Amino acid sequence: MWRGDEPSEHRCYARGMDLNELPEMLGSRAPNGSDPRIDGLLPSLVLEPEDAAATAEALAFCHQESMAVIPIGGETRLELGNVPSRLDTYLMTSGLKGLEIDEHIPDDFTMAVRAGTTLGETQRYLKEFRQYLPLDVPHPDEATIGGIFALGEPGLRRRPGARPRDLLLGFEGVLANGTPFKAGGRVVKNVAGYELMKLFVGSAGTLAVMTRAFLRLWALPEEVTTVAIGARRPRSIAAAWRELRNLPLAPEMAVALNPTYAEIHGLHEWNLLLRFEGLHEETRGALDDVRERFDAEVLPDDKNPWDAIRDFPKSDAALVLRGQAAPARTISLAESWQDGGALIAYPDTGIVYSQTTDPEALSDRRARAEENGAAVVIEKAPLEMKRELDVYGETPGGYELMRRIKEKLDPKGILSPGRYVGRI
Amino acid sequence: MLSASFLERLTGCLRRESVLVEPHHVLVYECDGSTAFKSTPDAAVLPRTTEEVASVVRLCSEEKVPFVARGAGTGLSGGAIPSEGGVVLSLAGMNQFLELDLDNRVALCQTGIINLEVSRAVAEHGLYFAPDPSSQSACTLGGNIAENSGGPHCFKYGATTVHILGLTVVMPDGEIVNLGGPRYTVGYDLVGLFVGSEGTFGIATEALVRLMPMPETVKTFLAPFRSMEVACEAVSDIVAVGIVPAALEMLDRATIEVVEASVVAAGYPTDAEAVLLVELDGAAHGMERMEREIRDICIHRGATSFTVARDEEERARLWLGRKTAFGAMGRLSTDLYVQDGVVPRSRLPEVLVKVGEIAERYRIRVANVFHAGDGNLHPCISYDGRDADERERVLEAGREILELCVAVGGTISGEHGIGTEKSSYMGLLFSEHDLDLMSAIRDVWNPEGLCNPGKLFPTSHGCGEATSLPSIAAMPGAWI
Repeated sequence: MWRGDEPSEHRCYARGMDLNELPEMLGSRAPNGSDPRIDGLLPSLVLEPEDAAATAEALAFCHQESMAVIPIGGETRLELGNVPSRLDTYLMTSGLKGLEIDEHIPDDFTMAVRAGTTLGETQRYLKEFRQYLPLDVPHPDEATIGGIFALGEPGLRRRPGARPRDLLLGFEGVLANGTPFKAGGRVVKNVAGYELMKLFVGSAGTLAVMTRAFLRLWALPEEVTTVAIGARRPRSIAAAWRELRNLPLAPEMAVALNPTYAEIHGLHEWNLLLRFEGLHEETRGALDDVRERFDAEVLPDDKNPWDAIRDFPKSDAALVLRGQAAPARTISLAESWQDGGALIAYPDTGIVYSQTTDPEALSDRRARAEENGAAVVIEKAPLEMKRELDVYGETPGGYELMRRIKEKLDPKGILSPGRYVGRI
Repeated sequence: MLSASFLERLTGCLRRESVLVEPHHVLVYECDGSTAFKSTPDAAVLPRTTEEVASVVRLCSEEKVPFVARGAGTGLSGGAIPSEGGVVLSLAGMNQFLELDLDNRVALCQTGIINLEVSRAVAEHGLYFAPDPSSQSACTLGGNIAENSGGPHCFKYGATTVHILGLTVVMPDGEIVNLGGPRYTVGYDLVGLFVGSEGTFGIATEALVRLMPMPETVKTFLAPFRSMEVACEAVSDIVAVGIVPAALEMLDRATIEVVEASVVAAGYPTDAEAVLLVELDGAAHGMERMEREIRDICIHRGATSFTVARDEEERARLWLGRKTAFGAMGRLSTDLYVQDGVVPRSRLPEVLVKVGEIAERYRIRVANVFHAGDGNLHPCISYDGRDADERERVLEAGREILELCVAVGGTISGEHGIGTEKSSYMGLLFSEHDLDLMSAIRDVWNPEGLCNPGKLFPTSHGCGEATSLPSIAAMPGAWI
């Protein structure tokens, strides 16, 4: 849309307008060398609104001008999604930083956070209260609360109720046309009105921009223990999991590593890693329960693998895939993908991540996934490949409803156009 | 009134005996558990399959006839009553447990199945369905989905939304769509959006539900207190030390007295101002220490005793008193108005004091029984509906209590839904913009507005006045 006068240091012109004449609160500027590219593209304008009200103004401006906007948080997951069909503006959430300490009620295990705040900052603050957010996303010191909920990526935890969708009690945001709104509330139980939190989480910047989140917190566990169970064959891992998922203290995290990736953690063969959290007595008891059944190695704290596993999807590899199988087929899918590259699999959620240096592996992996009734999301691929395909692979049930929701909330299609499922 | 040609076509959609039009047949569909809202449908149908539901809905859509789905009718917000006549689809006959997938720990059920039947069907495998509204022996899965129902144990395990993985939905134009499934799917979380939409998006006919492993150990404790305030402080202390009990329930003196005078007497001490019911579940390891910590907190806060249920029978008795408290209140008066506001847990003591002050000011009787762990209050106001002055006072007091909940950062409904009952209060929580956004979403699913019209939204979107006093039939068999 913007005809792209070469951005200059001080002035940015578009459609004959001098953007420096825009209200200061919008923080408009031309892109510069430190701005990220998305699939090789740079916009002609960057807006860094100073607060939530300015974010609404910025979107109203873009809407009026029909400019395509991609909201940007910590820039940690910009590789996700299809190649944008249009790109005019980055809307940075950097002006929305800050914990709202007055809104943290430790006794209620709830807090409010501005959307541009990083997860890392939030966790460091909460640690003093022995509380935390059970969110595990790559690079938490850069990833923002707004971005994390917008993507809604499945994390490491397997307990129902620990998904991002279950932690967002309410939020404030801005619609594509600049209208501010709020949804949900601040208390841990609330059925007043539609569950718009569920709609926003995972909508990847296509429906609204979050400005403030109301969150449910958890208590830090007294003790954490990680054990590794090695096996030569992936099927033994599946069998071990079928038995161990019935332990009285369910593991908080459970992940299988293929030999290539296990090697990085000083382990051999296939490994099933389990993390137990709870009281000292509970984790000790769980450890005894595991050792009664399997030859399990307890990993010492200095060999904590979980941060690396959390960051696994963020890789330098040419091709990063996320397989989505029914839980019972997880290890079968992992086994079919095991050649050539590191791989991790979550046997209780059916998510399998694979890294490979060979982009040509895609078609074979898709075929193997199909055999396992699984879907494949391409998280990262060479640009020329991404241009040719829909990275989400499948058209989900209810796609027509999704398309109509997008059309209703963003009739001009300015929010992250073309990047979402079915190129919404 | 429905035309003769419509009725003829309706009869063609399903078996003739499944179409009810006689006034004495449709009368039973005029209200749900909240009897203050009554509106008789022109017809009621009893479908057995998704296809039958779809054919009825398609017909209604073509003929512009409003329709509403109904489960067991245990709802308390007037959510399943026809506000503009039309057709009620009773899904109570769609009660089949269709498939059990033990590997993936999910079950596929028709949504007319009774909540507790899901757990019963999988109990032999050591599994259960976690959402446990007090009405779980009567309410249907479909109703739970519509209201995003909670229950005492949702404090630990989350409300219905956490446990629904997939849905078959008959859209308001009769189209059948499948949403979600046993594995992660891409795209907007339409299952999450549908759960809690109070029947205004379409009719869920089948649901894929998550099954949880039964806990190894369950322990139930009872702690009586001399003051409600300190009992609430004990609740905060328990949660603050990081213990997540399966349930934390509270009953005040008025409730204790009525329960103990009834056939469901649970053995609660009648001289206590409050009793706290705590349940722990999980691994046996560590349970002893958690029990000790909870006992210490309760005693430190002034509990007059601390009883551990010795066996399953005693545990069941303690819970029966709690779960049937509302029915027992039928002893107090002819009518009962039950509220469902939520406040931040830390504000419970002061809010309960203020609720008492409001009751005194309006000269009404309030009994409190509530989910203390998540701050979900159920002030129960007993009154005589034939007394116009008393009705007016109850209405005003009810409104003040909800305003109080909102003023301290809470909400107007924790688990019963907005329905007809609280639609005029939505303006207390949401702005015009917020409500416009919600109606825009509803219009995507339900563009003609034929599917459960008149619910959830205030007629003018403003902070209107409640004009009708909601109440539940004060009699045994009413649950909250």
